[in-house]
Amino acid sequence: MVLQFFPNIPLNWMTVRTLSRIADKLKVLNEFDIRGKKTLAEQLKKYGANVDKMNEYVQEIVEYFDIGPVDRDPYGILNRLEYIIDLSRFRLRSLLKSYAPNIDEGTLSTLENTAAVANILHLINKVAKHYYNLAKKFRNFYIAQQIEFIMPQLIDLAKNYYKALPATTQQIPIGDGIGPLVIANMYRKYNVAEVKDVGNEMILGEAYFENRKLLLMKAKGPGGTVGKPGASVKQIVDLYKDAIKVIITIDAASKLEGEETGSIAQGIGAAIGDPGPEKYKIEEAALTYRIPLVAIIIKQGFNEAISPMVKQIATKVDEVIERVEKLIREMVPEGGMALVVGIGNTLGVGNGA
Amino acid sequence: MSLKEINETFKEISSMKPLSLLKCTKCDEKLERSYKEGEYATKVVEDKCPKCASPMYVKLIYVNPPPQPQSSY
Ligand SMILES: [Zn+2]
Repeated sequence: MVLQFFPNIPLNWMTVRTLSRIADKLKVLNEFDIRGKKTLAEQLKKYGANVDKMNEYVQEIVEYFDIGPVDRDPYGILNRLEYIIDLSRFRLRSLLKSYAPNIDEGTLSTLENTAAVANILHLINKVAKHYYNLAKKFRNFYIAQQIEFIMPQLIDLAKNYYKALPATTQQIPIGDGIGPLVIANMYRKYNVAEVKDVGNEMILGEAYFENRKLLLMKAKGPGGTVGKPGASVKQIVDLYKDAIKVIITIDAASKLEGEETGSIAQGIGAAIGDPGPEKYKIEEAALTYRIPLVAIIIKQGFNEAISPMVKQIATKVDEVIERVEKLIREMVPEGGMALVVGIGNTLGVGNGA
Repeated sequence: MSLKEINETFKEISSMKPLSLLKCTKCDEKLERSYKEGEYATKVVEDKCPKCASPMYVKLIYVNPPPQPQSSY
């Protein structure tokens, strides 16, 4: 009865309640953030970072950002994007190297992964806090409600990124590494004695399969890198031209809710989830010589792609190889050549021999 | 998910034990054992094939997924 004369009271009360529920969940995001930073600090320390300056170093890394290119004038945007991505990586690597002077090149890529995870855990926490504070500042129920709605997804996201940390610190493969893992297993299966470094952190091994030549490509392991497969595919295709009868890309791909982890599917196009430049180069190289572009994907949830590889995914390796062999029998005549590329992070996956 | 529940997650993550699946370089024999630090897929390890005593290499590294209780956040 009294409330009828003060219509704002119930809404304010609900706002306060909602904010207090959000505050509880923010504690969880904060905990992920703190643990991410702690793991990063431990890794930096392991490679000789100055302990006195640790807080400063960690802060610098988790606040690191890059700014995407302007897209109002899309002309040449992929070149600018590629430049920004390269530059960002180069700068982050130099930063890490200056903080952790005892690190070697291979491990640096893995530390880069740890840094990226700590950075994103910090970002998630920061953004959630921002909206919480905004809702509090303006006593705005609707902002509070929106942040409360997406909180479960944010916590899930943070949890999944956090799960990637033990993989990066122990250097074990993550779900996304299934593509490189398939190629590494092909090196073993066909007794590839030597792999060549083809630049852009990519390697290439040559094998023979039923009178056909296979060019098997992956990022250089076992450090955590994806390399630049587009640049390397272009380089190899420019070299062998239409002697290559098919380009097969193998990659982890997002499954829909309800689909089975580790299920395999085949289609057309370049299976690669980069922001654009690498995919563009693969498509362009294939188009120039009219080479068919076939994609094999191994489905998994986003959480599975960034955390240590589960058995259900890893044990699909032989089945994927069988599929590749079948494709090659169908599409490449005897005496012909096929380029097979394992796309993804090669963390914990070596280079064969 | 509360802070208490999240501690369960941290426990679960730290108890996650990676496994290495070894394969013989000569025959088809396979062997699963705990992952040892410094190992990576394709690396030849000290273990010898129980069947033919040839060197073995790491074919796969994986974890057994933890049971997924559907928690409400
Ligand atoms: Zn054997």
